[in-house]
Amino acid sequence: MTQLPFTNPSNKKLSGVGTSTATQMSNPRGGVVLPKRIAALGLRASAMPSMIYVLVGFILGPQLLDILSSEILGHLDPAVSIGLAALGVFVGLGLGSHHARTTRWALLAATIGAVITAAVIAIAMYTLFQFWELDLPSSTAIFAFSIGICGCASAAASLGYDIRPHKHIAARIAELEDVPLIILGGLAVTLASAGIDPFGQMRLAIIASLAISIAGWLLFERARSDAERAVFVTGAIALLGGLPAFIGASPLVSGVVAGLVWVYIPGSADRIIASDLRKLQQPLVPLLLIVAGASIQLNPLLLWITVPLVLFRLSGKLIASTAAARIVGAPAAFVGTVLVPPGAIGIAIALNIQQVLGTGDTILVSSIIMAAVASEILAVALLTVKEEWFN
Amino acid sequence: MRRVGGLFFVIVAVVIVQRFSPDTATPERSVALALGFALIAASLLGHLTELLRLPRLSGYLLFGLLCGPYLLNLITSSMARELEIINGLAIGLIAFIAGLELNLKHLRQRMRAMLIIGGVSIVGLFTLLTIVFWIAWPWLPFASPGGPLARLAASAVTAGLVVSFSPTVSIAVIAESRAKGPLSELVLAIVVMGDLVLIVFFALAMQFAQWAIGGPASDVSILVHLSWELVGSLAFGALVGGFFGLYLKYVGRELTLILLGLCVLLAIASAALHLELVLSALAAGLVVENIVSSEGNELKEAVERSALPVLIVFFAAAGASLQLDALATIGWLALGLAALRLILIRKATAIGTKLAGLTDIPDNLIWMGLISQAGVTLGLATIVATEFPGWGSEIRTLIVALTGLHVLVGPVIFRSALSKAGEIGKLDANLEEQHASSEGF
Repeated sequence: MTQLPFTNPSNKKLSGVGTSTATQMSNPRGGVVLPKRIAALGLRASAMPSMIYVLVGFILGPQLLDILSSEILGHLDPAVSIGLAALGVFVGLGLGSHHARTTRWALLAATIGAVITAAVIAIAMYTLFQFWELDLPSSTAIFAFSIGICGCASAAASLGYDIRPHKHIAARIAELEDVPLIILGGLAVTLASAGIDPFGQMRLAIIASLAISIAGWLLFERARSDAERAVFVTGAIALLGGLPAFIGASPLVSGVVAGLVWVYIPGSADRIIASDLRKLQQPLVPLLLIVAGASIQLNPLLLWITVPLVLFRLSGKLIASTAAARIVGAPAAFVGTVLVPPGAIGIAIALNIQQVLGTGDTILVSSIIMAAVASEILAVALLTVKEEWFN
Repeated sequence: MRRVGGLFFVIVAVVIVQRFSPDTATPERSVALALGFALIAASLLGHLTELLRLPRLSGYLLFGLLCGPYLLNLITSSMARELEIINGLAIGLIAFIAGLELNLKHLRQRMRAMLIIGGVSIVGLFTLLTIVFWIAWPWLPFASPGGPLARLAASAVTAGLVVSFSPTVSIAVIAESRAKGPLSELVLAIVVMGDLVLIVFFALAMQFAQWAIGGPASDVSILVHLSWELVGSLAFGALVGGFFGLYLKYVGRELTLILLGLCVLLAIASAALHLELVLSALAAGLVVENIVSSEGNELKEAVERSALPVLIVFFAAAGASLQLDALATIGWLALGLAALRLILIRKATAIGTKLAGLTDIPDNLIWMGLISQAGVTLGLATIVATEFPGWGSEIRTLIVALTGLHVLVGPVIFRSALSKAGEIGKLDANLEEQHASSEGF
């Protein structure tokens, strides 16, 4: 998964949800001293913020203190759309800026891995839902499809090591896995929004995103001051979030499209947006996680969904790891180590689908978060990082 | 040229989505769209108006007006309503900035002049307009409130609404033109004082009207409410400002984010506790400026940079929400009343300036800063319409039209005054001087 945009005061990158992990420690020779085991649930200082945000959200949310009441959560909807677009832009910028040859194989492996895992989860959950006849907020097929996509996100940042693409292609697979997930997630969003022509909705959102990215390219470099540039950047991201939200499409997809355009178009739009977006991400990404935490609804149905989801996810990930490892020639165990810890992008997609469903039933987000927590624990229990994989 | 191109593509994107959106399009989820559109397009229009030597915020208002529901309808009425959710944050931030501008040491030297000019303007205007309305009421297109006493009460209420100023707009003009100097300080102090005094006048006039016309039972609770609104707002704002000062002193990180959070907190708490947001945010700013002044300068720089997006959205939303139909209904009367108000403000400030013996500000500039009217006036007019559904509703239509005129014309006139006084851009010059002197040491 793309390195999520949490930065600590010293500018050292921190990991995202599900981010597990081990703190990077430099040895005197400039190498990396590897911890033997992946930590989990933010027990390490570097991973604390993301899990804390979800926890804070849950505490402030309607289930406990009700400070973030359902009404306030409704008012935060636009901010969620903007946050999703910002995440998408980061993914687009990350995808566009990577070394092409490494990216091609890793992207293929990531796509195959994501599709396998999502398919395993979706088919298995669909069968279960049919069997149990659960009361779900959308049609069983769409819900199973959505849960398959959201459930299979991985946290590449979980390693916390110096992930150089040419050396650690397995980690790149997890990073690039966001791309097919966002595209599939975009389809799930348009399906969930009850659109008659989901591909038409996606097409419309992509055309609008292209127009906004060209507008951004024309404006960013011509701003007369930092404040004006910040206005243009904020406006562009708000439009990338708002336009698709208006038609029931995915801001994440719009963000990826714009990010890619800004990387490949001549000029310094990509550098400007990356630098300015870093200031915006500070409030937006934690806000996404807080809203996600506040959206958790505890009910028995959650248990019925989470337990099988975690098991199917683990099975899917193991199959996907084997397939992906063959493509990139990395040890399957290492690929599995990278793919099993859950990623924040799944929570983001789930939030997006919940937005368009608009039913007030947050079982999708709740189960994805619970599954993320459980998968993190499983990752700690089952996986070991071997030092030789990095040599 | 690139700016025009950028604007073109933004408009194309918005139009495409609006025109070709499927039936499942959800206008209630249009806030982010409206926000982004307003930020980019209004900012570019603001740049254009600046080239024409007009205030940028006139460009933001013009954007709202052009793209709003009455003309192009790119910002629909539901979008305009949704955009207004930023109002609390914007008013809180603008008033906080005003508080940061009010340095009590500087103000003390001009206190007498301010009290005299402000007092003469507000009391004079209120009295004269009450008399004018009382005499002219039978010829105005308003329902009769009753006998002479009831008419006097209704006239006083209406005069209170017509006199009111807009601290928000005045402060925004000063902030966006980076103005600093005696005229900015004086106008700022008068509009803030005016806001305080007019709340009292309005509450008393309403009390009188309820007694004279026989509206809802009048009792002392309105005075208790008024005291709470004034004293409570100042105390609450000072408390919040104090905590913020401690944060500045001992933490001092992520100031922009914390400040925006503080303004949201002030807006929510003021609404919940029935406090006056302008006053509480102003008090918070005053405390920060006058108690933690060394950190105040650093904060001021950060705040002034971050105020731009908030101002853009606030005024774009205000432009989109202007009710042009009210202007069409009662336009001539509003125009006449606006002209009368303008003449009276000019005369009153001239008399006040003479009485105060003020020499460093030409008296023909001060009135130009007191023209604007905006949200607070509309809020008070809505109260009148609710309390007195007959004539009160008609007065509200008049006030809506009048405010529409003043919010468009006021900033242009005030900026012209600041320009004539040579105060535009002086804030940046002062900051640079301070920066240079601190580096020199």
